[in-house]
Amino acid sequence: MITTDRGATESFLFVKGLCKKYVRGSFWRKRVAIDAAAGVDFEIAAGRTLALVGESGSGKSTVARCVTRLEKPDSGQVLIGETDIADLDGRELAPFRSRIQMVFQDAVTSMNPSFSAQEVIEEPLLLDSTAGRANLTRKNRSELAAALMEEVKLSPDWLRRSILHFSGGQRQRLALARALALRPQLLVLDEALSGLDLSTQAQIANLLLDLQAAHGLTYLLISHDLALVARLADTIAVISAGKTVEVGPTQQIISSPRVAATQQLVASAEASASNLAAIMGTT
Amino acid sequence: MRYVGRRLLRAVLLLIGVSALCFLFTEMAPGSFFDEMRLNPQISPETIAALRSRYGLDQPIAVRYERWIKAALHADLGYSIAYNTPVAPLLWSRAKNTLLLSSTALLLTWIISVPLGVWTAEKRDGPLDNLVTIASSFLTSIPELVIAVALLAVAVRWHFFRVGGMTSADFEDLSALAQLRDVLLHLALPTLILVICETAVIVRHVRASVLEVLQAPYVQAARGYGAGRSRLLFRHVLPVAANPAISLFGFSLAGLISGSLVVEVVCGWPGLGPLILEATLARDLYLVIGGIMLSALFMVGGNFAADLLLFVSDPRIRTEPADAT
Repeated sequence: MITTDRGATESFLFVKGLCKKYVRGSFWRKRVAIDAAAGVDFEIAAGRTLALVGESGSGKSTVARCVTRLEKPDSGQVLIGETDIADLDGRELAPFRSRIQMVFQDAVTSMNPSFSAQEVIEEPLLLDSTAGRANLTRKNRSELAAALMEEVKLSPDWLRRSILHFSGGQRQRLALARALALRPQLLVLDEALSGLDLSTQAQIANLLLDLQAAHGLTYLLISHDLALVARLADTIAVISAGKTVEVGPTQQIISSPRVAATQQLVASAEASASNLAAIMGTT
Repeated sequence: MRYVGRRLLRAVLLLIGVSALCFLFTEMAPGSFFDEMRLNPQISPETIAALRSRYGLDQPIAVRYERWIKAALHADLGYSIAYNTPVAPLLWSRAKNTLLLSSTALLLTWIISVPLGVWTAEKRDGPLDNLVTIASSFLTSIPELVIAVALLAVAVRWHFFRVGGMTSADFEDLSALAQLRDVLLHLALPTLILVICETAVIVRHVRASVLEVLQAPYVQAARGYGAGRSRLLFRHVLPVAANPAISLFGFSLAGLISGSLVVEVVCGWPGLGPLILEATLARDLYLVIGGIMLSALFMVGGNFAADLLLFVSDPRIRTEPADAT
């Protein structure tokens, strides 16, 4: 197991020994425990991007859900500054909700289908009591939503459109606008670009870099696509069977993979070299 | 409006189709109301022929159907040979009793099923969920007739409810309040049977649809930006999970006439059930057709109501596909 100590640079997120077990089954079926995460360690410096890569079923999304506290880890630490949010519940957790936001893989199902774009963006504002924005007037909320639409390169004229009228790429931009509404410091991008075509993927990747530069955002990028990771991440943590098996700078991991799991991922990426070229070509 | 127009046109075409099939099948069925008369040596073949002519049964099926359709447009569903009275008032007098029973059962069923389905979905795999799952699986696997007979036997043995009919023999002598109490006591057993059978089905559907939405990424996203339990439930989960429940509610409305027929027969409730059964056994042609058409009318109306409710509640139905950009 890779052991990580807090580095010399100030890390925004520090994850150590993260474990999460799911128990499947019920009264009718035999209960089976699945170790989705069995010792995950990594840290991300403020304003930087760490990519958590691994094959399907390796536990990447479980880690994302534990970091965003959609799931409570069974053990381990998730430190934001000096606070271990793995142990927090209810009201104690509320101030950290707005600091960490997640963008999901499927933009279509990650928004309430009965909402307009405006409702999607304003809903978090209505609930954000920690920053006092729950008391914003309707007009202020509307102005904020329009500004966020512009920031993610969507026309503010589309605010009243049903989300069903947006394409996949537009919805992912809208998901980013929703996440940005709470002024987060950490964005967890859970395969957020995987469902998009290469051209749209490249546009969103550029947008993510712009937003990071503008707001000093920290990204935890969950992906199995090394080509995309090479474009966005400063550091890569490779996860296999729920454990971190290799952590290092992006170029080092891609050019000199040490463990078998990483070597397989790199080999797969090389096999789809045209994909890599398409993404890199947009730089 | 185009959506409503399409649904309305489909409903009308469906009713025409059901009525045509009714006529066709009753024509194909062996025997007629007059067959027993033929066995009676005191009734001459000429008398039977005259009766057939009087009720128009000597006409070809196409002519009879055309006449019936024209009359039905003026709420005239033909003439009952067995009861010697027009079908429409006869059906309506019994349909009122059926509607009293089925709408009471429908109301109670949904009042119980929706909260129970939502609750068990939220507490998935908990003790209550397991209990409800076992009970509903058990009840849905038993035919309604068996449950009806079993509860009837229990009610008769231990005198839990008033059994048989809709009122007691001394009903006319009772005060208004006592009359109401008497009807409610007679209503209790058939209602209980219907509620038990229907709740077992509906609670499973509500649970499944709420469970599906609870796991949807947009609900996870809402949890992620801090939506509490009640906001999640009322703002995000229930409006979307309502769609399958609305369709099911349409089926419940559709079954207001036909859903309780077996229970009515078993419990002796003076609704359409016993009337249609007797009419079928007696081959009382127009009464059978009238009963089926009334049931079909509620079926089509219930589904039409569900379509309209879905249209209002679900923007996906009102929306064209997303732009391909």
